[in-house]
Amino acid sequence: MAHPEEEVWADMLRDALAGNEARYRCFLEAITPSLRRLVQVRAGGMGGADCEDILQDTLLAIHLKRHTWRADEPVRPWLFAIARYKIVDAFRARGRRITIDIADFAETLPAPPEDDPTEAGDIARVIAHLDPRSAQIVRAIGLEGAGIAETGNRLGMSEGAVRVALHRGLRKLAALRRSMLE
Amino acid sequence: MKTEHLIAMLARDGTPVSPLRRLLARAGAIGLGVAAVLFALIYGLRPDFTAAAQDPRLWVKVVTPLMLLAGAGLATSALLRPEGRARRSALIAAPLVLGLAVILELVALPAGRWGVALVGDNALKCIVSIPLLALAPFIALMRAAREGAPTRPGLAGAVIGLAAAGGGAALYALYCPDDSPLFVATWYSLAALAMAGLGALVGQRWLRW
Repeated sequence: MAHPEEEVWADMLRDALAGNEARYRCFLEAITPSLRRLVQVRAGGMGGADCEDILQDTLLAIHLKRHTWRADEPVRPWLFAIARYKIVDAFRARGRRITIDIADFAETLPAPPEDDPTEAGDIARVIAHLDPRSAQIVRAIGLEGAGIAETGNRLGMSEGAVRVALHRGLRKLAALRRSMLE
Repeated sequence: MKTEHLIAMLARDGTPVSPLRRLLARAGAIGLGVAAVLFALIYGLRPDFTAAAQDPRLWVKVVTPLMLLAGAGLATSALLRPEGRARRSALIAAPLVLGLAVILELVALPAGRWGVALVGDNALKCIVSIPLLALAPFIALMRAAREGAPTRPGLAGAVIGLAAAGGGAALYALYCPDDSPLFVATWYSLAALAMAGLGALVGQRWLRW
């Protein structure tokens, strides 16, 4: 096979779909550098923070659409098709935005806050539009890195309820991101 | 949000998933089941069915929609995968068989009766009933398709419309008194194209992800 990672990724994703969360995490970590490279090659002109946004939208889509991969098909074409779709979406959304030359406003604009470019992304901003419970859960797990059990304790919910709410929250997050682009 | 945090969060959402193919198969079965009940309630087999079943043209009318259902179903399942491509042969079989039947009919029938055969007795009922019977499979398949990831949502929607029309037309064919392939090629195709157009419109809006 031309791509040595193909078999490794396919194995990891198969395990992940069978319910192995540790292997799933390995899979997502393993594919991220290749996806980041693809996004930077295709959409490099957009800048680092926008590229990272596209990468995150791609990862979210891969997660929510992972059942569209067939275990007997190669993983790479599937992954890259999702990434390309998200890149095209980002370009389409950008094409509709009005671009204003920043120099015209340079004297009236306050200095932009110095943010970590990988954190400036829109996903964190979208969380505010989730319902309060989902927002709490996504914030605890996604921003603070809390586990399922810890989040459950903190919010007085069972682990099962946290899982269900997390899943719903992620789906809503993806829907909100999409409606922002449209 | 940092990408590594996002990854950790995604990995924690271990909600079990069923393969898209299974979702589609289930939706198709439910949709066709509802359509069959609707058919039995509103239409039912034509009274002269046993006699009409001797005519191979009745079977062309039943089988070509079934071929469309199967072909468009396969194409749907392919187009709902991001890297999927629909094979053209899947969609071409039904029009091909119908085209052949049309040629045979033109040969068998004197030219003076072509017009009557084409217009038939129940053209209006036909183009209303096929979309009506296609509606349940259409809705069921569209709902399932939202779980898919089509890179061409309009095309995927159109193909779903064709599959639903195939199901609706196969049922309606058991009632429809017009047996000429000229009739089928005109009005059944018109109904199927209308469903494809509706599917394209709905898909364009609904199947984006």
